[in-house]
Amino acid sequence: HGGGGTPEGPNTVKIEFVEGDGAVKVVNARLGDSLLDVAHENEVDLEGACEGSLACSTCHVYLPQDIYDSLDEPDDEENDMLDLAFGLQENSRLGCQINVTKEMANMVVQIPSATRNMAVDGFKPPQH
Amino acid sequence: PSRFARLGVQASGFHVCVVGSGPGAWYAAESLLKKDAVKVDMYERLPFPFGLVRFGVAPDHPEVKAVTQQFERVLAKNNPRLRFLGNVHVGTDVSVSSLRAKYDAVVLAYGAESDRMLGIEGEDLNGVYPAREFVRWYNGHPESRDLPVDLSKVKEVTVVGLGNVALDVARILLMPPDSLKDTDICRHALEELRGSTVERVHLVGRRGAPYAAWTAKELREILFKVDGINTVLSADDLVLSDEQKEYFKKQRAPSRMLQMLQKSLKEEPKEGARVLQLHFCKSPSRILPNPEDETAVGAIELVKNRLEGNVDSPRAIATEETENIPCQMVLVSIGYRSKPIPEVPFDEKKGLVPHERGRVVGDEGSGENLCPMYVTGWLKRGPSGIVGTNKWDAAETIETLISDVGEKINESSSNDPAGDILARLAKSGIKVVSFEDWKKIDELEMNRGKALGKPEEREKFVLVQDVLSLIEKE
Ligand SMILES: Cc1cc2nc3c(=O)[nH]c(=O)nc-3n(C[C@H](O)[C@H](O)[C@H](O)COP(=O)(O)OP(=O)(O)OC[C@H]3O[C@@H](n4cnc5c(N)ncnc54)[C@H](O)[C@@H]3O)c2cc1C
Ligand code: FES
Repeated sequence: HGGGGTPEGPNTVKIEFVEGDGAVKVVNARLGDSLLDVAHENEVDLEGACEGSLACSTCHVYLPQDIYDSLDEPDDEENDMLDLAFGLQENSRLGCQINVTKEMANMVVQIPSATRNMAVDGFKPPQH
Repeated sequence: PSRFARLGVQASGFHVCVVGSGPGAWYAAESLLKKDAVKVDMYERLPFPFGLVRFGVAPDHPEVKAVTQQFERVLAKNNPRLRFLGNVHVGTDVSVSSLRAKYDAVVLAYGAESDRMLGIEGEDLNGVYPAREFVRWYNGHPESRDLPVDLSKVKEVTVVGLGNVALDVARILLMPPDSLKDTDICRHALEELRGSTVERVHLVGRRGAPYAAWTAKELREILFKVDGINTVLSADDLVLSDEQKEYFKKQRAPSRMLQMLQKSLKEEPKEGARVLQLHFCKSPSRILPNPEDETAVGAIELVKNRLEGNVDSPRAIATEETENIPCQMVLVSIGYRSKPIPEVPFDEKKGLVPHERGRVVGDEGSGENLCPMYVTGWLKRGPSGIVGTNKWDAAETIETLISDVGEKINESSSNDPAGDILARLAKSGIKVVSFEDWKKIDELEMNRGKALGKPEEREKFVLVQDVLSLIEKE
């Protein structure tokens, strides 16, 4: 977690993150890095509790629909965790599984809001 | 006095006391510390932080435990505004009202440390335990070290419940012990598993397969990913009524899990593997003694259920049909339950602290100079969700707290509220464990792991007095 963020370079594109509280951060994202890495390098408030091992779903993000549609479907393991993601939507993916491509230049990635009313969301966490 | 120095003195500000140090507590602290004026003290009854991440999460899930590094980052980033005060039992060593008299707000996150039980005949026989105790035993919780587990006399185990905890204990009992040798499972448990004669684990659920509480990742893991386990279930159990078909078609998670169970029916049985047998729509009605030793469990009687009522959450109604499963151990895994502590409202029926968006309700009799109380984590919503769920849960609670406090957050300027409390604890001989102390223990545990041939994993200290005397020596 270095300060300053990723410098602009030949292998970067701009990505805009909208954090849960609405704050907007435009950052340089290195091609090939995961959105989780990009977020962490640029102090964007996206958690990755399991550090990208598909065991937590705290790296959940909403992608622009056209980008979402252009990607391969999530695999079984990602879907297993998406099942548990808070505020799941049609355009939900796990940030640790999405790698930055040129096509993603200037896309807006939305981080789910933490304080949306859970009851309204119909969010039912599984029992242990 | 040197111990106090290590804890540091907290500057003036808005002082919040968090009770517990599991995910609920850490996410609450992280949320709170986004406000610059806030200072947080985290009280934990054990000398170890992290709650169920250390004492619940299975040893073969190290990736789940990676979250402790995030928690440590929260501490590093907010140093010295966040302090860990370990080995202090709130409600026993320090009362809730004395905390409320000193702090500006209290957030309860002390989890769920008892069990829902079945309430049936024979539940008190030897060999019948809450799954929670068994989990704590293999994970080295100081209070469950002496659980009398003797797997050399057990061939079949019945686990009651179809949640992730049930899958965890079944997996630990069934997987080849060598696959656990590089994990942080405690040595005493690994040795016991090596001598285990367990051949079969029965998982019993009162309702049908689509209503099971487990999650896809854990189900996929036991069905397809872990070596040495064959799963047995009846194809009939996966047949849905028309109404169920219609309903579950639209339910993403259960329908994916049903597909997994379907697929597992077609798996080739592995040679020499132990057996996981799934039982749906059955409830335990009696636990029967072993004829050779009347004090110990010998079998469990199950009654067949039929389902009645709403398709989304039907009730299980017992029929006349029963069967006996011979077993020498029964693990009851139908839910953790919170315990009340003195001076905190408690809903006995639900087993949790009643709240409104995180603000504790039902707190009438309290004195005027006591600060408000909030709740988060399993103590707030019961035993549900994964580690990350507590983040959303804590966000709600802290949003309520911050909006209740309003502008006062910047006015309050009390000095270190822990001063008097620490002095009193010292007088009664209680050694407060700081995070720095814990990091030393952490390092020693990692060294013990290395010495046992586990380069990446710790060997935990189990006894509290060992840990305290090690800290004392430093
Ligand atoms: C067996 C098991 C396996 C699990 N596996 C996973 C998994 O693989 N992945 C996943 O995402 N989630 C898993 N979970 C769920 C996860 O552990 C919980 O969601 C989470 O720990 C709940 O956090 P909490 O802070 O509410 O409670 P806890 O984690 O229980 O923390 C409560 C803390 O409070 C302390 N405390 C209790 N009483 C007092 C007191 N009076 N004074 C001071 N301190 C006190 C306790 O010692 C404890 O440290 C598992 C849970 C269990 C039980
Ligand atoms: S970081 Fe845990 S699933 Fe992505």
